[in-house]
Amino acid sequence: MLQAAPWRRKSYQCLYSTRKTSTFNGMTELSEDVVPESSLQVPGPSEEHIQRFNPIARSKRRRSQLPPSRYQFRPPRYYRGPLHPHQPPPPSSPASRLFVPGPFSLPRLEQTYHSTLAPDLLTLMYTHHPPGTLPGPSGPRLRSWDGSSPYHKNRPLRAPRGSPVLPLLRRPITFKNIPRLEKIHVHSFLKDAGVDMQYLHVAGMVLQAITNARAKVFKAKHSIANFHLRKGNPCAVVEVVMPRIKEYKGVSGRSGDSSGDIGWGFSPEIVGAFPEVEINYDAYPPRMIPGIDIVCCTTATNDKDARLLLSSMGVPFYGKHIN
Amino acid sequence: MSLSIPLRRASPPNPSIPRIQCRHATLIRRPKRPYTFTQLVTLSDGSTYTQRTTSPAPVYKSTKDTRNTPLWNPSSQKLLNMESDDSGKLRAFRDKFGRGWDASRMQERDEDVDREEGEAEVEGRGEMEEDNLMDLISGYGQEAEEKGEAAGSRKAKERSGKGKGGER
Amino acid sequence: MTRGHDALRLLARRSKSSTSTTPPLCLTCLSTLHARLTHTQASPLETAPIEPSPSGRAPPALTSTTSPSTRYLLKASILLSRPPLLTRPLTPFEKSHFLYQKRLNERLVLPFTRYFYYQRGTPEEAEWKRKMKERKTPARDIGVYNAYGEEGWNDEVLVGERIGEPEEQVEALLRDAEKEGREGADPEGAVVKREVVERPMPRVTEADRVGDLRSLNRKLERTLYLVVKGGEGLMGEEAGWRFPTALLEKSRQESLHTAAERIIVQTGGVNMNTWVVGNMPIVHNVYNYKHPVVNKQHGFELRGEKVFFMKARILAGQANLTNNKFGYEDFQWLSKEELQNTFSARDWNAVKTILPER
Repeated sequence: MLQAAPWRRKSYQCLYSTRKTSTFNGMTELSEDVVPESSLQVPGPSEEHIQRFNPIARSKRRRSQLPPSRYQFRPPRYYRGPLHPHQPPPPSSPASRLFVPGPFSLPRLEQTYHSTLAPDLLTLMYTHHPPGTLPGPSGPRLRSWDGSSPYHKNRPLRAPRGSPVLPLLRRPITFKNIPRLEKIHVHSFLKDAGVDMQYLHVAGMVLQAITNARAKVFKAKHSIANFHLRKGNPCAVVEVVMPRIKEYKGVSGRSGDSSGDIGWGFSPEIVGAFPEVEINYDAYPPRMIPGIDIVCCTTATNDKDARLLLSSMGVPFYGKHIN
Repeated sequence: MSLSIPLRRASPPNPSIPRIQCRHATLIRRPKRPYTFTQLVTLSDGSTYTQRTTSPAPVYKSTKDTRNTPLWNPSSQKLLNMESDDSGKLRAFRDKFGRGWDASRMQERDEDVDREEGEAEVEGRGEMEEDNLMDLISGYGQEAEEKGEAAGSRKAKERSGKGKGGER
Repeated sequence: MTRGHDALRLLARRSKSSTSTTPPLCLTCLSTLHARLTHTQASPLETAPIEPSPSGRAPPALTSTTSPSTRYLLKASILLSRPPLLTRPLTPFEKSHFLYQKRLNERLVLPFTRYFYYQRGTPEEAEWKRKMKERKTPARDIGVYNAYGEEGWNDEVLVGERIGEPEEQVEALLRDAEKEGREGADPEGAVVKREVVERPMPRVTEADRVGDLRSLNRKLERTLYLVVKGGEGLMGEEAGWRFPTALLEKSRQESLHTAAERIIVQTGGVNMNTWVVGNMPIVHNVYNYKHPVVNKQHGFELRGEKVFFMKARILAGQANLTNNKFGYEDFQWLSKEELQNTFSARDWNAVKTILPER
């Protein structure tokens, strides 16, 4: 017979058909430790206070002002090492010289990713293993020489089977490692810039207009390339620029570097069709707007996953998908 | 504090150690970022969103985007029959030669549109006249072709009396 | 072996001993557990505990294992959802934070290069200058704020100001786009609206106001799921609101995703543009009959039903239940909270953990 249980009723759960409804309702419930009051719910200032509030008038009424150094804080212009008494504030602080103002809105791509794309990608990339069928530990990826020859001693390990390059390991995709877009490189290669510096300036302006960040110039032995790195916001490219390309088939299915990065290029006409460039198209010297290469770096570890992620975001692919 | 005062050392001065104080200081540069605006982007189907951009236009109205491109809407019947008339040449052709040369699918669609828009106008006679002229040409032998009785009316090539390279 | 199995072995071991601290399993469980464990020691659990197994965890065996005569009815259930069409509304903290960051940006960013965009002498430049005088800043969504002036320190948002609200910011952008220029070339002439810009459609639709639960245009910020009523319920019970469910047809050798497509078409008609996400189910549930149905003719015993949930998305169209093959009478498109209120506790438990937040 069932005996009186010393523990709470809630923890008893029969495992079979007479299961009790659990108290967890699937939604995030605040624990009892969280105080329900919020500073936003505290009653605000009284009407009279609101009417009287005038900081400008108040500052003008002051007869004696404190010296400006009491109002202003200027962070140090030079960093002189960790032991210096005057330390710069951390870059996250608005007082720092390195401060970059934070998010101005919730990016809609991020919202779509978390609400729609990530669950679908997880469903698509999940591989099912019934219990007891998980593959056992695999052998070494780089095999060693078998010792049949005396020259095998101290030789470096052999190349992997079938390819000279060791590809990335693909971990099983779970809710914690769904591939996501990390950064986007926008790059423009200018072979004429060695001759005429104006190309470089124009390319820099175009990249700045498109990506909202300054371009870095890299010099190769014979030519010059402009690079830029940016996080997020490929929405505009997919939604507005790609459809305007005449007879656009998409990105080639062969694109991809087997490590989860996919790249493609846009010709100068297409770059001129970007809304940020089109608005003052006449301000650029004619025929100097460069073509650009866009590389999307994702956290996927192979071409297939990266392509799936990008196509879920709206990038079309054509042709045979080659991994 | 003046930086030119050399530091005093407890040990006797060694001529090989430099006595000038050096400054290891890195300049903290402010990041240079271009000015950004908030812009309202209106897509062709009426949906809107705001985004940060360097373009100073407050509203960007796009006429061609993912909502009205067949590549992004493969199962939309409306977009399949769309034709792109960028340079206006198709319209000029139609003004000159009428709609008789349109593909039959396009004709039906446009007739429906006309019917919806201008029912009051008397267009009956006009529609009757503008039969599909292509059918007159191409449809001539189609029935026979289907039956397998199409007879070619090409004559054998006339051979000239002279040999190769000869003039006629 | 699975965690569930280990736990059960522990419990079974405890229940065998006659100490008073046995966990209170009901008699049926104890007897079935005892019987099963004495029968086969090494096999995993046959009837899984009734909890949804999210796709990350390896579930126990789904097919009958111990005796070849044990079978379950296999059913596919469709979680047809319309993903959210709009971004979520911002919290008050987010609104004030974004406004604060935009005003900080005014002070820290490189100044706007006016002559790169508006050439000297053009009417656009005159227009720009006029607007700049009014709002003192090139940006339109932070109110009247001059970052570089002497009073740039006074940037606190006053009580009752709606500067941070996204609707107000969008309205400010649209008003800016409307005012196009002065009448004629006279700089003091009246401002003429050259072009009235169309306002964007509201976020709250007609279906929201009316409360039409059958409409797909409702609750554009949330995911909506298709639920149906009528027909035969699970295990022959009375049919409340639930997801469309049907048996896998043995005659066709159906797999789950083909069955999913068939069920969608047979339930809602062909007027829906749907996509079944992948071939894998996202949840599975096992329901046991109180008494297994013994089929002596074929020599098996039917213990219950196993239901696999397949995820599908609706892209366009609407469900139409006329001529549906399962006898459904009505359908609704419900969001997550409405599902919780409508479903029975058992059905809600089955799906509550796999529904996304939004």
